[in-house]
Amino acid sequence: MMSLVKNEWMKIFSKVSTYIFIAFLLLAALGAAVIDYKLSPDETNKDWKQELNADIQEQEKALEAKEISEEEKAAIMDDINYNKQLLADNINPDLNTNWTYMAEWTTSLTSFVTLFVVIVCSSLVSSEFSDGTIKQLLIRPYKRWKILLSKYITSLLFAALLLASLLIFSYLIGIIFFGNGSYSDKIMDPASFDFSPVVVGEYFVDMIVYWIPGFLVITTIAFMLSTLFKNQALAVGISIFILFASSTLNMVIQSFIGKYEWLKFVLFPHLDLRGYISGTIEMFDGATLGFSMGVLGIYYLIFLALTFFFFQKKISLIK
Amino acid sequence: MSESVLKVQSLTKKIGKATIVDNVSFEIKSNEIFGLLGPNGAGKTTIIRMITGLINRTGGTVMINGSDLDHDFEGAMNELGAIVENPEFYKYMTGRKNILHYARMSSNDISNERIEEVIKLVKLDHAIDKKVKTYSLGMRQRLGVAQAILHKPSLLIFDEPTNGLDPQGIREFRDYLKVLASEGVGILISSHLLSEMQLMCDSFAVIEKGKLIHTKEHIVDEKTETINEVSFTVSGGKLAKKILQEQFADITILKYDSKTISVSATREQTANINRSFIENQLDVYEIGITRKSLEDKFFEITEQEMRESV
Repeated sequence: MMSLVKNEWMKIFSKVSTYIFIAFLLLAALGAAVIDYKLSPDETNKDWKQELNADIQEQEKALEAKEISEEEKAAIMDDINYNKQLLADNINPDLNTNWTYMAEWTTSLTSFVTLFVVIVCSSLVSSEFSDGTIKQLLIRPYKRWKILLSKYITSLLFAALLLASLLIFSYLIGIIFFGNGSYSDKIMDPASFDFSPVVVGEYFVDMIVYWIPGFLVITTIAFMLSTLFKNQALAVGISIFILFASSTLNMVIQSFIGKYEWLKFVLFPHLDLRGYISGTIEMFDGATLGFSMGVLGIYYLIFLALTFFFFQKKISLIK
Repeated sequence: MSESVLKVQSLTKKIGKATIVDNVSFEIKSNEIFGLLGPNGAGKTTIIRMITGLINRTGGTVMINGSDLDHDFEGAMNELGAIVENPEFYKYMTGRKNILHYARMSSNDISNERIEEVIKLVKLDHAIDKKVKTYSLGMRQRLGVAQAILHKPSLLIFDEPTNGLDPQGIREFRDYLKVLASEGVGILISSHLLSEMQLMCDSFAVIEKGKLIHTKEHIVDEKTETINEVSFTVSGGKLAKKILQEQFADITILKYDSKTISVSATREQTANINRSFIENQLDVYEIGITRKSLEDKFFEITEQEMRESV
């Protein structure tokens, strides 16, 4: 089995596109750091408490102005509360370290990891068919399920490699641009509406850890599609379509979920578990992390079973 | 005694109501180059796919070097080397990486020395570190041979191996086969190119409409009563004709002139004619035998089959 995985790994890394994907992750992390650096104040502001107090005073003055609408009033009130909360929790809003950079940017750059992994995994099996190499692959002393399993293991390893690359690139670039900040610095929870402080490092780790199950399932879907289609381009195209359509579908499903109970069991709302981190937003009635993990787990097993089933079907139709 | 490296028994493939391959049995021994002949669509490729385990059999058994495909798939496959249809490779990888890929898939440990040896044997040492997409068809065919023989299998299968090869490539391929067979491998080749097969194979089977209609006849078999065209170069053509007409009334004279006479005769008859000529003071300078080509034989067999089925 080791030698089969080695073979698959060799095939992936014999393609130029693989190196382009990794280089792109590096460039994306670099680009994000440059943007973040330009946007941030020139130096770490030591008098941030005084500035916040000054801001609050200005905002309170603005409230007393006469020609102000109710809406504007509410917005200003929110700002005041936010700034007061920052002061109360001793949180520097201008804080910019490698951890704040990663919490803000790397957590979004993971979508590129998904995209590249989907592209590579959805061609892992289909390309053997479209290149005609499948016949040479199957007349070897290995049972067919072992050959397929080795490809699946390889796709998981590749997914892990791309994620690790992004994390390592971001961490190092973050240190270079913003210096090595403290893991335990506090920031306001960006995902939460009521102002609650979180530890930046923990927030970042949570954002990655809660993202992984959905990523695993999407990788598995892409791999399944690669066994379903003989045409490599079709497999890749449909995988990417599902990837992009899933967020739209998710919104549609969420808006109907109150009406139709069974929509709870559709895959899409559960693909992104990051909504559970702060625990403040309820996706729908009765949505819990356990429930979502359960639904994901069942889909995962179904997809894997289908993958091995499709592969057996497919190889019996070799032309 | 050479042992059986492939034993196919009652091989049958049905798709729906159609019978693609009907109860085919044959055997290949080591050192033997065995040709599977038949027109396109006769079922040759289906037979090869069943032997290589690429498609399911409706019935029958396949034993490769004593391992049953059903009971010991991995054991049987490790004794097999094959090019199924076109030699397809990972074009984005070098020839060497492709070979390494298949070397890793063998149950045997394949040393780097063995890989180098095989690359030299198929004369790819100058191009082995180039990507396969730069290879000509002939080079890909040679790479195909390399991956097939890498793990020293006891059975080699080549499906239409000379398709798309130039005459030089075909000749090289033939030479490889002879060398491999002399080393003890049994080789199965399928083709519809009869003249090619005649030059390559020791024995053959003819497949038509999924049925094995002729098997194991050695192409050059001296003991059979095959009728050959025999031409005698003699001192007097007229005398020769007279002797033949008087003493061998049942032999057909194909043509004659003052120096030569051609007849249809068996091996035994040829010797008798020669003796008569000498006894009658006729000098025999040369006896030439034009053996029946495989092509003639193939048509003889298939036409006979057609007559019988009408």
